[in-house]
Amino acid sequence: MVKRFRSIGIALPAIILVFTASVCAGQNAAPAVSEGAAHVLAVSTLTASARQLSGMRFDRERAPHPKGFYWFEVTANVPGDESPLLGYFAVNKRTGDVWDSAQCRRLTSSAIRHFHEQLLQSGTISAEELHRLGRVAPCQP
Amino acid sequence: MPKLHGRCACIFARSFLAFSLLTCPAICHAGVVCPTPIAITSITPSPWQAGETINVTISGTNISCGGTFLTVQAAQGTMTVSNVVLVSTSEITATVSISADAPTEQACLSLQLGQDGPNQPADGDAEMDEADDAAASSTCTSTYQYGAAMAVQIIGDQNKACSVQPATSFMQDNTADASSLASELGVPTYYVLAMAGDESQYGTSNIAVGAHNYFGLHAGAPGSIGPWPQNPIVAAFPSEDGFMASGQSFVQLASPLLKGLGSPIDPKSFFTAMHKKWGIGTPNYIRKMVQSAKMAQIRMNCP
Repeated sequence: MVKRFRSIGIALPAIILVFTASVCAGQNAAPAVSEGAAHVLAVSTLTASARQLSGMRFDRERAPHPKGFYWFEVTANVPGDESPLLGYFAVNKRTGDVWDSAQCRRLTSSAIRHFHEQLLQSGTISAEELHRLGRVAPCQP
Repeated sequence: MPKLHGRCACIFARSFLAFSLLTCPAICHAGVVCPTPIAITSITPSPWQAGETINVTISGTNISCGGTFLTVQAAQGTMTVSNVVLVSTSEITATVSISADAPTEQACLSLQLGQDGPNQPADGDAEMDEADDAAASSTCTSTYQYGAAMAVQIIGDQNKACSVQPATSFMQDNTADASSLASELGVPTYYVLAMAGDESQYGTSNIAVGAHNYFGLHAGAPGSIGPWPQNPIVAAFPSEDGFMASGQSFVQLASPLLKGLGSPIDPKSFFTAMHKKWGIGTPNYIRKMVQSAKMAQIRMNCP
């Protein structure tokens, strides 16, 4: 599946809608995090300049990976001959935690923290589960 | 020959996560001030493996003078230094025991000679932040008046690092090609392997598998065979030798970024240069890639 965001100007206003939709969906069935929300959360970990790039797209990884995560690679239109590859990500379908899957490091952002608060407030997940599941690495460093 | 006071062997903390300084008690008697600069020319064996006890020989010049004392520095808490023997003015031997859980890092082994205790660090040295600390560790520059230093690579927890797949196989399978590319750039092989590993998800990404592009190269990159149809912003390379073909393209693009860096190029300088073209989306790119390079160095040498 490929999704495009022409600019962060479109993506950012969508965050609230995506959060709300995904949290509500999570009350009835797993995963609590929609694929669209996973993309937004991953983008939130990029540099500010990268978030401004146009033509951002999210390609699901075809290689086999552990379940329970969305795995995708992010590219965008970049100036000149810079690398269009912005990163490889694994996003936890239950908690929204974002991992740099190349280095196997958990990433943080204010958007992820806000998303966690929403998950807790909606009762989608307990604080204990969020803490425990959020630290389950999808990979080995 | 000056007598080396055994209690003068003490340990400094200099890790990537924290910087602290534990000074050696000034227990050695005063002596003459060393008149000439000292230097370390080699430390053998190197690298040091976590969990081992190693008999180390430190060679150098002017590493003693009458009545002075000597200090051996290493990463605090992960190793102990004992049996320090001043063999001659050009050789010291010591026994180093490294704990099994020692991290992978560049320790800084240094010798200090002085009259009244350890020489004081240069201004500002004790206030380094984490990034500067990493840089200092990788270059291991002596900041002491009568001292010399040399970096020693600590290989930590190698078994764990080597068991991680596909990272280890990727590094080992591509070491020969990466070595050729690295020699064109004038950098260690593991710098190139780290770039390729991170840009291709160790060869498993769609871009690596589909476009044979292992270095995250933009469409139009030198030597490419055109845009990758599945994602036209990405360059495609011939399927039969994708690593080397995309690697040659990487070399062409990276070489101009390295001009003026001198030799040897330390990891921080290399990845600072690479950041201009490859780090646009990644916060803390330089620190991240320096760590990737350390892991690549371990994995390319796994048994």
